[in-house]
Amino acid sequence: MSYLRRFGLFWWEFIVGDNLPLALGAGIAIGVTAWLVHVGLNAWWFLPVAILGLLAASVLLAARSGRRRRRKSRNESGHAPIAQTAAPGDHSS
Amino acid sequence: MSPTYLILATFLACAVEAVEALTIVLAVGTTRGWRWTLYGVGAATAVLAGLTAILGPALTSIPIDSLRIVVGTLLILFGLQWLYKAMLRAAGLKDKRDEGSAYTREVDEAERADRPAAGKPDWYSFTLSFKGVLLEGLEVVFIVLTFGAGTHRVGLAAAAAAAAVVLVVIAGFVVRGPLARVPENGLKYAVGVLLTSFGIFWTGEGVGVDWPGDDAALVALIAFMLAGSLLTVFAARPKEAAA
Repeated sequence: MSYLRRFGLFWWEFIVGDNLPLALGAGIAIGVTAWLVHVGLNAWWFLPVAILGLLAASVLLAARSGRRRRRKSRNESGHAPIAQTAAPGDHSS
Repeated sequence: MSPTYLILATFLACAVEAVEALTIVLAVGTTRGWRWTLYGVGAATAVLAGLTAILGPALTSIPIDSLRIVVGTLLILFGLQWLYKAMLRAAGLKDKRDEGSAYTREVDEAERADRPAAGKPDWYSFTLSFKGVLLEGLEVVFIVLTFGAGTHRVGLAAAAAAAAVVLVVIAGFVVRGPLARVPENGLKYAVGVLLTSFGIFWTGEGVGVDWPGDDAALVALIAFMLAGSLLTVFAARPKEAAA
C-alpha cells in the first residue's frame, strides 16, 4: 500500500471512522437543514432529532446483530459466550 | 458563549486521551528504561504543539459562518464516533477499555522485543512512545482546534488540554502505575455528548438556524443528546445483561 494511500486512509478513519452509514446520514442531515433554512424555514429542531435518530438506529442495529450472534453461538455450543463481542464499527478507542 | 463548556470539553477529552497515552509510556518506560521513551514523548509533544500553533491561527482566519459549518460538521462526525462506541460499551455490546490489562499487554510486548546493544539508541521505546503520544494527542489537537476556533479561544482550549495532561501525569507519578480507576468509559460518554452537541449547535448557526434562547439552546441540546442516548442504551442492552 502506498504511503499516500495509507495517509489518506488514516485521516478517513480519524474523521469518518468505521461507521460510514452514520457519517453519511449526518452529512445528509446537515444538507437537509441547510436546505430547509434556505427555503425560509427555521428548522432548528431538525438536526438534533436527525442526529439522535441516526445514532439510536445505529446502536439498536448493532444490538440486534449482537443478539443474533449470541443466539447462534448458544445454539452451536449449548451455552452463552462469556465475552461481549464486536458490533459493527467497534475497533479502537 | 461561556468559556466553561470549552474548558470542560477540552479538559475531559484531553484527560481521557492522556490516561491512554500514559499507560503506553509507563509500560515502555518501566520495562525498557526512560531515556528513549521520554525522547519519543518529547518528539511527539513537539509535533503536536507545532500543529496547534500552525493550524490554530489558520483556522481562526476563516470567516465565522464558514468556520462554524466546517468545525461543526467535523465535531458531529468525531463526536458521533466517540458517542457510538461509548453507547455500545454502556449497553454491554462492546468490551470496556481496561487500563490495567492494556498496561500488562504493553509490558509483555515491550519485554519480548529485542533490546539494543549497550550505548545504541532504543528505537523500539522511542517509536512506541512517540506513536502512542502522537495518536492519542492528535485527537486532543483536533478537539482543541475545533473548539478553540469555533469560539476564537484556541489559547484557552490549549491551556485546558495542557492542564489535563499535567494532572494525569502527576496522578500517574503518585499512583506509579496506569490510572485504571479513572472512569474512562463514563468520561468518553460525556465527551461524546459534548462534542456532538457543540457540533449540532455550531453547524446550525453556520447554516443560518436561529436557535431559540440563543446560547442557552446548547444546554438543552446537551440534555437532549444525553437523555436520548441513555434511553437508547437502555433499549439496546441485552436482556440477560439488564436483568
